[in-house]
Amino acid sequence: MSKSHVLRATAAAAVASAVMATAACGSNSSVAPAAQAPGVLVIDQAFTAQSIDPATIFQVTDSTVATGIYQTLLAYQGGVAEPKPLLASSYDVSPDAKTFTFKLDERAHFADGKKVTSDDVVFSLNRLKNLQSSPAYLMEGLTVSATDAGTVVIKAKEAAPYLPHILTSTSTSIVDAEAVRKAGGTDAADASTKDDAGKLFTTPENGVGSGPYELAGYDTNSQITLVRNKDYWGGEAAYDKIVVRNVTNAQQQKSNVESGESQIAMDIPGRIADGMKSNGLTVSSSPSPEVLYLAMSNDATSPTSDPKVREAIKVGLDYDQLLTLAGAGAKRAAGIIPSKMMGALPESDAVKTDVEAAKALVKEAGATGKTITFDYANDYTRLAGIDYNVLAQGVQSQLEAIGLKVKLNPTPTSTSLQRYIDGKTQIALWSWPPDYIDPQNLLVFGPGDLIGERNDWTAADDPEVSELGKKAQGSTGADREAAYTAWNQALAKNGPYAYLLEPSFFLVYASALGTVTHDPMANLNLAQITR
Amino acid sequence: MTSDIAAPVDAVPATPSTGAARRGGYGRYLWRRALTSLVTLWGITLVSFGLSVLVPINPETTNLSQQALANPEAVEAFRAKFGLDAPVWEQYFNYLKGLLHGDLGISQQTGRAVSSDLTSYAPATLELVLVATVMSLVLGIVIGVVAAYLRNRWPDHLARAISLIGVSVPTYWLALACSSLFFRQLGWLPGSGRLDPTMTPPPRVTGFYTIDSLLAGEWSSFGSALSHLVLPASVLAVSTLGMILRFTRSSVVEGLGSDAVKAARAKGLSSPRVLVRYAVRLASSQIITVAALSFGFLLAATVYVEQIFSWGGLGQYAYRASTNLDLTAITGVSLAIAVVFLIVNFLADVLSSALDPRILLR
Repeated sequence: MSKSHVLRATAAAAVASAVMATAACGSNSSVAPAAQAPGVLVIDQAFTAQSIDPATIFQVTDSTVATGIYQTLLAYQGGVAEPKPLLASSYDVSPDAKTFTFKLDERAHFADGKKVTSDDVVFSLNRLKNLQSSPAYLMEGLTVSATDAGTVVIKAKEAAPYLPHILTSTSTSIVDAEAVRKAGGTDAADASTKDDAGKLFTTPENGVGSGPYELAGYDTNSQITLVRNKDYWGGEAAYDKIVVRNVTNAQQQKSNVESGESQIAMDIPGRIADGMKSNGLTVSSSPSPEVLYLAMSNDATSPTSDPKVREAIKVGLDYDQLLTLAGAGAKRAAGIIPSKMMGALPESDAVKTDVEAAKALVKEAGATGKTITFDYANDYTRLAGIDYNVLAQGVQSQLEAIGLKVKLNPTPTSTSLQRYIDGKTQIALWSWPPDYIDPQNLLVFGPGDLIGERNDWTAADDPEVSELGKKAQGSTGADREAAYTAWNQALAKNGPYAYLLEPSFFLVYASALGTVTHDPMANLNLAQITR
Repeated sequence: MTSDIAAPVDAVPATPSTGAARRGGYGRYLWRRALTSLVTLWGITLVSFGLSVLVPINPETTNLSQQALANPEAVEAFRAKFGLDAPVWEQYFNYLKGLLHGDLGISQQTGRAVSSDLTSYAPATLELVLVATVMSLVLGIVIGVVAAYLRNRWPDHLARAISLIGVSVPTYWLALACSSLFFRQLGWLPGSGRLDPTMTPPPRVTGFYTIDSLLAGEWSSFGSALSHLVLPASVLAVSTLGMILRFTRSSVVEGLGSDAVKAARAKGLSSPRVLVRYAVRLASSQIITVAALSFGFLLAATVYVEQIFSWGGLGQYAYRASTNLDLTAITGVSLAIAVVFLIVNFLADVLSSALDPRILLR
């Protein structure tokens, strides 16, 4: 063997490798499998899965999947934020909005064949309350009872006109009580320590839901698979199988949906999705149910405790430039209530940029050159794929232009959120994902409330906004809209928040699919996708 | 034709004099390595647990909704469920106690035993890393040996360029670029997952889809599993190819300059025989060491690659655990990777010492 032999051996090894790769390519006869499996729907999403037990669901992925398996008393239909009967055939609300009576649909039954009864509803909602998990607060102040096998009454301590919206949440899904009890589940007061039914919900085809699909596989790491519920009471499910895959990278989601490997991509940001309206793909957008805001601490140690500095920041920001940085679909936000909720303010009410006025305010407050720390989550992309790093840098340069010195403090989401919760931030970039589409969910921003407290903004600091919040909370019927609008306006004027924008969520899907709409919660309702 | 005047093993100098002494030295060496591994493992539990405690974040912050965080009862229930209400030293003691019984705790993210999660996800990662290791070893060693043999000629220059590219190109970028080219543009290879999404995974025996599909006689699944392996494994292989290639080249060059090789040449042995039976063999212990190191590197690099290719293995599990401060899962993954890494290194040490007994004397 000479040197040329060595070269030939190398070449042979390279060829062998290439042949192996080619063989692998060749063996893959279905790089674009969608076209060959019309009964299978593949959806790509960046997973946040944690639990598919309805009483503990609070992550987007689980909520998406649950819409196919479980059903709630009420649901949003066709992307409209108005609760419509689902398991309930009708419901009545008392004039004081404290008593809600639901008549169950007599046709409804679970995948295991058992009829959905009021006992199932009482059990499911009490279990949600007593498990003390993340969504348990939805049941705060509520008691559930059954008057007969087909009637459920929910009573609220205080007026709860927003309850129908709460009852669209997948956490309030109704499960087969008998089967869950048998698996170790309980709805008793000590459920947080005694309930042991968790495994049942990840068991394939467990039959405890009444939706058009059943769970076939639940892997929070890679993919969740649903199969058709052959005994669905509402007609025939559209697909034999739905596969929801964990694809974390937006570019990969784009490639998958363009190649036909998947049919729906859920996390492609507007700046990418905007250019995909071709090649048999449909791009739809829906305004987000959350507003991106800057929280400015009222703590005495922060320069932002001076109302003049807060006002300077509000009028000093160039919101139009921030919209450009955020990408397609983003629009101005005039208040904390997003446009799809009652009490939202028109875009025309949004703060007008006035750099000169902002400079004067900074000077007047003696804050010129003062350093303000700006906290944000540098790995957070869940809000319509907006890059917080880019946005934060834009805000930094704009605030420096009015005379403030801004020190960026980018940290991972968990760290950033902990600092915010602990009230350690001066300026922080956040949004508030609502749990239901009603402005009552946003009263936490009021002085002395959950978010107000984080910014050291107490009820004593602003009795006017505090009082308007109480009025909004107690309002019912036709008075609600005016009450929430007034609160929202006062919060926008006096609150320690600068509303940067309201983004849009995008869905990119194969045009060959039938109806695909965004749920008002920016989610995807699997039960409502048609072929 | 030249006969084998000197047996290859003679090329290895100075070994312990008698077989018994050698066996005794070998036994002591193995014990020492095993003990070091155990201490290292304990150290890893201490460091990963310590780091988890030191970070200024409460686990409930990332695992409960914000409304639940405002409810002390919900927070208390969460902390009690995961044993976070005990003092830190007690948490660590309980963890070690559980560890001795094979209990790695419960993952806050999945709600399952961490040991079950690891059992579920480890085969995916091991399948990927093993294929990548074989690819990088075969290519790295072949090219490295050729480069050393044809030193300072064009194949050597080419090998250096390949090595430089291998060590300089960021894995994350390469994964994206390869996916874009081979999946999106050319459509030659699939882009995400381990199997065609319309297929049902083969019955689990080893957890390796390629092997399990073969065992089940599911040829279409085997083809799909193999094709899904090609891109991520190639990207991973490139990330260590440069290192293996460089080490192989320099070790073989060193071997070619050794007295044993000079003696073999003087005895008239043919160049290829000298190369393979003396120079490469002399370099083999170093190559084994670097192969073990590269295996460890690949286990770490798989986090990026699994994210891009949605591989669903330990890498993705570790990423989610880290971003959600799932302490038990983070410690479990660290420990699992450490165990695999230590075993591989232990085997490498044993193999190296068998090939080069001088190591026993160090």
